[in-house]
Parts: sequence; C-alpha cells; structure tokens
Amino acid sequence: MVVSETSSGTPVVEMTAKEYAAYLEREVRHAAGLSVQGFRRAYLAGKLDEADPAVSELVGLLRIGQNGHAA
Amino acid sequence: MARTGTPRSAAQAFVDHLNAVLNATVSDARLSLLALPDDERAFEVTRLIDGRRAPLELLGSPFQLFVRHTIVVHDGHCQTESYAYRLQGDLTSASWILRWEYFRDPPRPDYPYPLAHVHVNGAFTNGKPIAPLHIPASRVPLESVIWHLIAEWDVAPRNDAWRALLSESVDGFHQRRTAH
Repeated sequence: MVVSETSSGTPVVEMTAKEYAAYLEREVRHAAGLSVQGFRRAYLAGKLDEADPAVSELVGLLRIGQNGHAA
Repeated sequence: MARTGTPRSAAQAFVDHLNAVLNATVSDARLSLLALPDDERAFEVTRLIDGRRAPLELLGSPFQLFVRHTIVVHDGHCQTESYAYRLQGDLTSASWILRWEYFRDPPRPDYPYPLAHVHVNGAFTNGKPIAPLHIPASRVPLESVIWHLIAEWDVAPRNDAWRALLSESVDGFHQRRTAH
C-alpha cells in the first residue's frame, strides 16, 4: 500500500489488487461477519437484513450491481 | 502528483474540495482517496486510518460521521456511483442514528427501495422500529448533511462563515448535476 498526499493534503491511497482484495475481505468480515463471496451470495439471495447499517453500505463498497458489476 | 486531465486528477480535485469544506466547517479529519486497482476510473472516498475505514470526529460533539462515496470519472467529471453517510453516537456502526444512502443503479434486479433514501434509528409510539424503512429522498450532498449537523445536532462550526461556504458549495453540486 502506498500513501501519498495531494498538494492540499488529501491522502491518496494506492493498493495492489491483492491488497485491495484483502482490504475488502477485512471490511466485510468486520462489518458483517462474512467473507466477500459469502456476503455477495447472501445479499443477492435476499438473505441479509436491508435495515442493518452494514449491509447497504457494504453493497456500495463492493459495487454490487453498479457500473456493470454483477448483480 | 496526478497528471492533469486524468481520472485521478479529477477525483483528487473532488476530494480536495470535500476536505476543504469539512475542514472549514465541522471536522479536522480528512477523507482519503482510494484508487480502485481493477478500474482506473473508479475511486472510493472515505476516511482511512492504517488501511481501515473510520468515521470523522466532529468539532464540539461526541457524534461521529461515517462517509463513503464511490465515484467513477467520466469525461473528466466525477459521477457518484453510491454513497453512505452515517451519523453515529460513537465509533461503531451499531450506534447509528441517521443514514443517508444512494445507489446509482439497483444493486439487484428485485431491489424494491428508492435508490436515494434515509434511515432513522427510532421507533413508532407502538414500539415498532422505524429503522427498516427506506424513506425516499433526493440525492443529498455532503454539504447538506454538514448543515443539518450544525443546525440540529449542536456540532460546533469552525466559524460564522459556514452558511455562505456550504451554500456556495451546494450550488456547485446542483450545477454539476444539471450539467451531467
């Protein structure tokens, strides 16, 4: 992971594909107690509680159904 | 430093602007820009501390604001793919009070809710929870959430210029939406 800053001080984070996959895995496990694959499968099957604050936020994080990403 | 005219430079300008607004009004914390490795046009905007996501501390308040945008740059312009703003009582998502959420596209074909909506963590007088309701809303700019936090949640603005600053920034949001 490489962290730099814009001239205005905004942190800019670059991750390799492997680091990014690990990041997503960490965030999904922390928030929902599931693997990324398990979360995606359960969400698409309608098995997750849409009222859970973690669920819709993780759906956005994983880009499910967005910009050509598989729904 | 990103070359001008690239998706990275457009995304950086967007987050620089959000941080300028946040730091001039309600928080000393900064949002980070995470370049998604599988799509050079796509970026996540959130606060990252040691590679973990975290909410923003708010001036003069015990509340915290979690922010995540996913943006995609098209023709030099940042398009919001989804966002989640969450007002929390502490560091944990379980302490949430209000949530503003948006998806550009339905996340699954049978998604029955409005793509832009608000959740309120409360209950009706009969005890039934309100939290599950996806209350329809327009797309909400972060500036409007900041305004709400100052006006109604006693978050301390950094100075008296917050109204003018947020108004000007919201005008820019609406102009960008009209143009694209």
